[in-house]
Amino acid sequence: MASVTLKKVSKTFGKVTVVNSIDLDVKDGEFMCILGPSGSGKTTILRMIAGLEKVTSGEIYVGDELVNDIPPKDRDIAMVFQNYALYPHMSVRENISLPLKIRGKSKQHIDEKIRSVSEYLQISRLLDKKPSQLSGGEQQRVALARAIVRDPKVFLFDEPLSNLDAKLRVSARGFLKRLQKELGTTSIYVTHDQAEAMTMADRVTVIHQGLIQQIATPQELYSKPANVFVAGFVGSPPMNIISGSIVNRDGTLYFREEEDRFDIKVKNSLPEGKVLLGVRPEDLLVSTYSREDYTMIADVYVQEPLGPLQYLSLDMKGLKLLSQTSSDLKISLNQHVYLKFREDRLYFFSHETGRGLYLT
Amino acid sequence: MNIKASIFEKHADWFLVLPLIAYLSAFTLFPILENLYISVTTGTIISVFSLPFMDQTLINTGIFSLGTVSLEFLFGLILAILVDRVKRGSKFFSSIFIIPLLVSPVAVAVIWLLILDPQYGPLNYFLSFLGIKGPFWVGQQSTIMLSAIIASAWEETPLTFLIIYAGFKSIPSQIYEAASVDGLGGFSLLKNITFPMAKPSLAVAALLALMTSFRSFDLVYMFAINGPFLYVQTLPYLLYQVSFVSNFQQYGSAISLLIMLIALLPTFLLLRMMRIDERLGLKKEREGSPAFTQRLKSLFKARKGNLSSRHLASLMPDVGRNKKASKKSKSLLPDALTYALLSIAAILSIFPFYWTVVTSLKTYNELFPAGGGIVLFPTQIDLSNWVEALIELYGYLVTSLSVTAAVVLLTILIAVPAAYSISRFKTGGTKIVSWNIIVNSMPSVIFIIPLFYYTQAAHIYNTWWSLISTYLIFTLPISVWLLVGFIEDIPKQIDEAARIDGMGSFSIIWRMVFPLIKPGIIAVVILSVINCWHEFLFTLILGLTVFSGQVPVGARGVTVFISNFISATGINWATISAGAVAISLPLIILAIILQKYFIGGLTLGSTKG
Repeated sequence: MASVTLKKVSKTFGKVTVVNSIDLDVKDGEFMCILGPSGSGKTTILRMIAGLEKVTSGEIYVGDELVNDIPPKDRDIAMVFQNYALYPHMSVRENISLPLKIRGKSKQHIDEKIRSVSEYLQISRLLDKKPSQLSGGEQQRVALARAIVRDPKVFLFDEPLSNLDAKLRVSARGFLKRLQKELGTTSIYVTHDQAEAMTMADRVTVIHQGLIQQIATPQELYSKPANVFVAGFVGSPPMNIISGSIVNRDGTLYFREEEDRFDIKVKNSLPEGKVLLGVRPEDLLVSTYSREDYTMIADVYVQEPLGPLQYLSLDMKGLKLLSQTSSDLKISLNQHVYLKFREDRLYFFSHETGRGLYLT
Repeated sequence: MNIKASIFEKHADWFLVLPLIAYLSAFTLFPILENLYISVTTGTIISVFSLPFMDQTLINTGIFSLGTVSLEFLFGLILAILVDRVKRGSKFFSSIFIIPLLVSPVAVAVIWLLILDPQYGPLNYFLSFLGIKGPFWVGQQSTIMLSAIIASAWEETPLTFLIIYAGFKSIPSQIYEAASVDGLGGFSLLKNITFPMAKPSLAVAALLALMTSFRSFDLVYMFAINGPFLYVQTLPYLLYQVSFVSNFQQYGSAISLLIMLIALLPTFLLLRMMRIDERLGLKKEREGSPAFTQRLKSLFKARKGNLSSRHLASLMPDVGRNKKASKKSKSLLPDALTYALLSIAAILSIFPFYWTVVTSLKTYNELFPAGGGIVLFPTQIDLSNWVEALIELYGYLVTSLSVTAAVVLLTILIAVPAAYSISRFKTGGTKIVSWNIIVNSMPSVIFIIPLFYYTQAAHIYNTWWSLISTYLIFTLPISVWLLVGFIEDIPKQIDEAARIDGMGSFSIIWRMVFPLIKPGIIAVVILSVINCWHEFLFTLILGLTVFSGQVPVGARGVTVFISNFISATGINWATISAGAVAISLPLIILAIILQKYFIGGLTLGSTKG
C-alpha cells in the first residue's frame, strides 16, 4: 500500500493541454474520486498514474518512488476499466490468474489466491466460463478479482460502474465502497457521476478543463463549493445560478436580480457590485398561496413527479428556476405560485472569477 | 527486467514493423529503382515506344482491360442484385458463384480452350442449334481477344459480385423498412436507396476489376501461345516476350516502368477510397458514411457463436445491425423468376468447370465422338487420364506445397507483429499501410526482371527459396492490411489491461492479439494459400526444372505443369483437364469450407495479388 502524489503534472496532446499542472496527494488507504465532465482530463490523469500515458511535465510518485519512467507493469498498480477489458478468449480463471502467471508465481500460490479471491467476490461458480457468458455485474466482479488478486499498492478505477444498469449501479456502489474499506488499498476512482463520487469517496477532486477546481470531502463539496462550476456540477438536480448585484439600500444589503425580477435581503456582509447567486432546488420553497416571506411570484412551467418528490420548473417573467418539493404540494400547470429562498442556504460567487464568496 | 528487453520495449513500434519494411524495401522498392536505373542508362526508357508492335499491344491492353471490366461489372452487379433479393439460398448461390475465382488463371485458360474448341467445344455446338456457325475463337485473329475477355471475365466476375454484394448487405435494414413505408419498391428502391448507398462499393469493385484485368498475365499467356498472339498480347505479356523470350531485358525494365505508371492512377484512386487514415483512427470518420472497409466488416460481425466477436460487439453498439428483415415487399421480380435467373447464372458459372471435369473422365470415343457433336454426360469413365496427370504432377506438387507452406508461415510471422505495430502505435502513420496497398495494386510483372537477377546473384535461382522469398510480395501487403483491420477492432483497453497485468509487446501479441484475431489469421492463410498456388509468372521465370527429389532444387509449380502440358505434348485434352481439375479442386473445397473467412478476406482486403 502506498500514497500517490502528483506534482505539477501536465499533459498535452499536440497543442491541446488536457491536464494543466495539477497537484494531487492521495493518502495511503484513501478512496479518492476524480470527478469531472467528459473531456475534463480526469481519465488522462488516471492513465498517467497507471503509466499508460507519459506525462508531459511534472512528477508522479507512488509511495516515495518516482514512477515517471517506470512501465505500467512494474508500477504495482491494478486498474479496472470502464468496459472491464476482460480477455475475451480466456476463461474467468485464466483472466484472474494471468497477472500472477506473468509474474512467475507458483501454481500452488495462484490456485490458493484464486480460491480466496473468488470466494470473497462470490464468483467461484463462474471460474470456468468465458467473459461473454457473464452478465454485466458478473463481468465487473471478475474485473475486480483480476485487480485484487495481485495485492497491488494502488487500485485505479476508470468509471467501472458506467456500463451497469441503473439499479445494479447503486448496489455495486455500496459493494465497492465496502470492499475498499476492507482491503484498505489506496484507490483512485474516476467518474463523471457526482452521485458516485459523493457516496463513495473519502475525498473528491473536481476537475474541469484540465484544472483542479476543488479537493474536498463530499460534505464540504456540497456545503462549500469552491466556485460556480463545482456548485453546478455537484448536487442533483443542479443548483440555480442567478446573475445580479449586491446593492446597499439605507444600510441594508440586498441582492437584486439583473433584470430586477426580484430582490432579497442578504445577511452576509458582501461587497457591493455584481455577483452570482446560487440556490439549490431544495432550498427554493414553493407555496400555492400567498404567505409571509414568500415574496416572489412565478408560474409553473413543467412539473416532474418522482414519487415522494417532485421537480418544478418555474418561470419568473422569463427567468427559469428549478425547485424540488414534496409531492404533497398539489400543483397544476401554469399555476401562480409564491416563492422563497432559504436565507441560510444561499451561495454567492464572484461575478468575474466564479469563486465562492464565503466571508462568514 | 533486463536491459535488452527494455530497449526493445521502448522501440517496440519500429522493431515489430522492421521485418516488413526491410522486405518491402528489398523486394519491391529496390526492383523499381533498378528498373529505372537500367532503362535510363540503356536509354530504353525512350526507345521502348519504338518496339515493334508497341501500338498494337497498347491497344490490346486497353481493349482487354475495358472489355473485361465491362463484362465483370455488368454480371457482378446482376448477380449481386439477384442474390441480395432472395431470402433463402444466398449462401448457396454465393458459394457457387465464387468457384471460378478459386481456379487458377492458367487452369481457367485450359477450361476455356476446351469450351471454345471449334470442333469439339460445347459453345460452337450450342451455337449450331441457333443456326450459327461458330468461329475458330482462339485460333482466329478477329476472335482471340474476345475469347480472352470472356475467359477473364468468367474468372474475375466473382470478386466484383462479392464486393458489390457486401456493399448491398451493409445497408441497414431499417433504411429499407423506412423506404418501403415511404412507398418505394422495385426499381425506385434500387435507384434511390440501394445504388446510392452502395456507391463506394460499386466504385471499388469497378476499380479493382480494372486493375486485375490490366495486370492479367497468366490467361493472356495461355491464349497467346495457342493462337495469333499479336492480337491478344497485352503489356505484361510483351514484357515477358521481350525480356525472357527475346532476351532484351533492358527493354523489359522500361516496359515495367510503363506498366507501373499506368497502374498508379487507379491505385491512388483506390487509396483515397480506402480512407486509411480513418481506418487507423488517425482521422475522424465522416459522419453518415463509414469507411468502406468498416462496412465490409459486417461480414465478420454477423458471425454467430464466436466468443470474441460477441464480446467485441457488446462493446461497440453499432455492429450486428445488418439483419436481413423482410425487405423489399413490393418486388422488382417475382421470387420464382429471381430463383430461375439465379439458377441459370449458377449453371453458367459452373458449366465450364463441369465440362473440364467431364472431359478429364471421358474415354477417347466420347471425347471425340465419331459422328461429331459433343457428349454432355459421359456414359463411361476412364481414370487413366487422371493417373497419367497425377504421376506427372508429383514434382510440381511437392514444390508448390512446400513453397506455399513456407510462405504462409513467414507471412504470419512478419505480418502480425507489423500489423500490431501499425494499429497500436500508429507506426509510420498511414505511410506503411499505403505502401502495402500500392505494392498490392502493382502488377507483379514489374518486379520480375530485377528479381530474376537477384535470385541468380544469390544462387537461389531454380530453388524453392527463389519462390519463397518472392511470393511474400503477393501475401504480405494484403495480410498486413487485413490484420490491421482486425487488430483495430480489439478494444485498446485489452492491451492496456495486459500491460498493467505485466505483459510486454511480444507476449501481448502472442497471448492476446493472436487468439483474438483468429478469423483474420484464417482469412490471411487462405488468401495466401490461393495466391501462392495460383501464381504462374514467377515460377515460370524463376524455375527451370521440376523437383526430382533433391530439396530444394526445382522451382516449377503446379501452374507451370498445366502450361507445359500444352506446349510439350501437344494438347492431350483429357490429361490436361485432369491436371487442371486436380490442382483446382483442393482449393475449391478448402475455400468453400472456410467460405466466410475467404469471402471476408477478399472483400475486406479487396485486392488480389
